[in-house]
Amino acid sequence: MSQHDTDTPDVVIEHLPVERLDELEPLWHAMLDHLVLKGNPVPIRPAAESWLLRRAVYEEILQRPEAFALVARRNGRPVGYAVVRIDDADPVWYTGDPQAELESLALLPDERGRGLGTRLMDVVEAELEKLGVSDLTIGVDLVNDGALRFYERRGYRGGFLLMYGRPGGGEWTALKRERERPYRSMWLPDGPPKE
Amino acid sequence: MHFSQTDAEPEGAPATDVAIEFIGVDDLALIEPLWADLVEHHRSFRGFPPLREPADSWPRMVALYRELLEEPDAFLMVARRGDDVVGYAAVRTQGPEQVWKTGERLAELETLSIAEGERGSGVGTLMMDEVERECARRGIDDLFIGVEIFNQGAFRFYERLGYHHCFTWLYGKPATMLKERDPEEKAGGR
Repeated sequence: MSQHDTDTPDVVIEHLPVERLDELEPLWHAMLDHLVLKGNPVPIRPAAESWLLRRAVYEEILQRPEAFALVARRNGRPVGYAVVRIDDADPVWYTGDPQAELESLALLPDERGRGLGTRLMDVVEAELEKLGVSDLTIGVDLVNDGALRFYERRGYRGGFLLMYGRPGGGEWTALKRERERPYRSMWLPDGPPKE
Repeated sequence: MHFSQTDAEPEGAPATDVAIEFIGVDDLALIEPLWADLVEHHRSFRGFPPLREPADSWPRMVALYRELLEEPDAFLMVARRGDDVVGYAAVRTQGPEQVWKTGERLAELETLSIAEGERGSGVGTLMMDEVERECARRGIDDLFIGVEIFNQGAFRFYERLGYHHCFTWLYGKPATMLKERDPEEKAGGR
């Protein structure tokens, strides 16, 4: 994939009011499709159901006045978007107060690799600077290696890893371990009866 | 975003002379020394953003734990060896997840701290057994765990318990990174 900053002169980036969030639904679907195609290790929700949950979160996020949604339009049609949430300072880390999180950044498939992500991120970062917010956190699915490299090239670094397990799916991992080596907890409040 | 703080060393069989006990918001003072141990351990990895001093973050964590324990099905447990508290775990619940097809409620291991001299002694395994049991009792199937990127001991520990890396959190200060930026780019993301 090659990239050229000059490939998107006919794209306009503007703020998206919360009433028009539904314009983003096809872009959200494209992002989910991308994760499915990449073989995401955690199963992905059906797109329409996922969008309803996602939109509700955006509505909540955008109630905070500094938070914002950006949409990139080519001939009026949304081809990319970004949503930034604003939170109070982190309890554990020396972040600024408030701090920002890139809640979403999604592009239509044929818009990827043409500099549009860069333009969106340039606007995100410029907006944050205007707001005086210095810290930005970005979450990336493990299978989305292109996105990870994109953000790393911009200077973002890990960070934190999120691990997932389904101990309750099928047989409980704890119970499997128990079979492998006898479980010897001294205290089992209201727990399942030991055999 | 707030990152969960978890810690444990690869270890074998669970500790046998350690008891697990659930605690409530009134018992938070019990675990303050273990919070300090966790922060000191994480500082040794030199990740970033930099960590607050334990004296600075502890009151913030107390507020977070108080808020968290109001969530349905959240819980906090300690491991005791005799009179000593040698570990604690905090689990929060949320859901439904918007992207991942998990159960309606899912759990996140907000904190797992093992006292410095107790790492690798089986306390972590014992606590994870209890965390999973408690989630099962509450009908929660899915558990997410945040691990500091340089904490290889903890990463291996959770992998051995059947957890897999699925997501990465990146962090930066865009205004100060701007000067060093490589103009090449490629897009994607969530």
